[in-house]
Amino acid sequence: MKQLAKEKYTFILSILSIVMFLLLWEFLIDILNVSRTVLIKPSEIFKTALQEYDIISSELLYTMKEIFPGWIIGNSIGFCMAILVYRNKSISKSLVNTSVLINAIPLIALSAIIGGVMGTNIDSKILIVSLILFFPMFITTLSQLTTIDQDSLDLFLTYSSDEKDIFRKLLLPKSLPAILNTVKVSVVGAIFTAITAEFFGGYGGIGIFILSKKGLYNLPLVWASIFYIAIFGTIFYFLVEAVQKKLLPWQRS
Amino acid sequence: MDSTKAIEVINLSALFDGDGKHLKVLSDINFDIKEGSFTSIIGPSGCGKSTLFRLLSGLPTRDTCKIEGSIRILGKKPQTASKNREIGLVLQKPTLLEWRNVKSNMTLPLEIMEYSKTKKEKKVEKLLKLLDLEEFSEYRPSEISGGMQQKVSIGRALAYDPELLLMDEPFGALDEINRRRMNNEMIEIWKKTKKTIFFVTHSIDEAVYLSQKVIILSNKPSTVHKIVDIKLPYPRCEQEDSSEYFKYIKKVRGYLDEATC
Repeated sequence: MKQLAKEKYTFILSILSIVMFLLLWEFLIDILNVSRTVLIKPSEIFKTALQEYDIISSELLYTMKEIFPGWIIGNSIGFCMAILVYRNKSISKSLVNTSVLINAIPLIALSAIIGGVMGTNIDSKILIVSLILFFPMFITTLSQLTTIDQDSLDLFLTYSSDEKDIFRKLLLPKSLPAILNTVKVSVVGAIFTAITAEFFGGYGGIGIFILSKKGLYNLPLVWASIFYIAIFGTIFYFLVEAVQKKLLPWQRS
Repeated sequence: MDSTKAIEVINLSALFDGDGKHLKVLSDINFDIKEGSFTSIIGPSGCGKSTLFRLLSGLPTRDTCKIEGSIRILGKKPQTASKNREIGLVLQKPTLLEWRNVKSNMTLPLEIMEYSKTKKEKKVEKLLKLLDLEEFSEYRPSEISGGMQQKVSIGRALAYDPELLLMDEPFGALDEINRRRMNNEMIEIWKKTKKTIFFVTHSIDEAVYLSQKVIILSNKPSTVHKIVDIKLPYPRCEQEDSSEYFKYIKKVRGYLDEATC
């Protein structure tokens, strides 16, 4: 009960601090006489956001079609590859090296090339998002699977468990918290990557939209787009966090 | 009295060799342990107790190790006894799986051994009762005390009814009060289950309080220095101040001092 009250308190406090920040922003622009080409008022951003909801949301929806598949595919490939490497110790070295090499390339800069090869449609963006997300997942899962508590392993051995038991009943549940954390953090990476990739060219999406409106000095629309991205990102992140909490009931401290 | 041997160690030597190391940890160890008895082993730290423990449990040693002599667990090799699920392990740390509650931590070995659901339920109910943990069956390890966690780990080791219980300083991390309580409960558990218990400890008091026989190991390379039979009736809580009890404590301490230097 006390815990709940405390959570409520922090929630109210964070809302309050956001409101304070926006109010400060609003009035400082008047007081300091900031030019409209530099910064605009939050009130104007909200107004534009409400007026232009249809167009912005359709652009954002386009980008989501890059974000979600990329997020899912990238994490899945990273996870599956880690298991593959764990299972076949012989291929591990070469595969780890290859993936380190891939990760060492500034992948986002590769967007232009991938766009040239695959075209600048949704598929190429999904590919870039996947490529960027797979590596943290791969490394996290692999390091989790390969660090075992010797005592636990000894106990499992005295029960005459086979590899499958050890994997399913010890390694996987033990690795789950770190894996789900990576999934959660990758939400931010997925959004960021998809939008940045669009800057390199494409047929639609919020990134292209922002880029074109910025070119026309339509700052309110740029801000309104960012506003919707922020809301989308926050909801996405907390949804994943809720699922994470549901899956890891023992992690609640 | 049934006097079959649960553990028989004959001329056991162990030598760590390789990596520039050349270290004899165990030298010519001989002892045997009767079925159903409670034996403690005590020795200076770093004397090879852990190596001996691993060899008895049938687990692979952590470093490459040359072994001479033989160990028989219930007349078999330790590895065979372990495969037959005749050995239960209780380690220094409870090593419970934090995502499982008390009950399913205890049924973990049974799951791996593919017991039927009703058999599992029956078994765990009996264990919870034996260990007086019925109220806590749904708790997670992080929600119960260190002593209780260790009790759960004892329950887990007993779940599949091994003949032999190997315990490696199981109460070493507990405070004095909890340790005493656990010692008393340990005797209860032993009396009720009639298992053979092999108990590694570094406490003289614990060794004398619990066991029928105390094996004192000497240092580097370790060998059996003395074996003391403790001929005191159970429970021993009322005799702790008796001169006889003191005599045993003094005796073990004396031998341990000899063994250390």
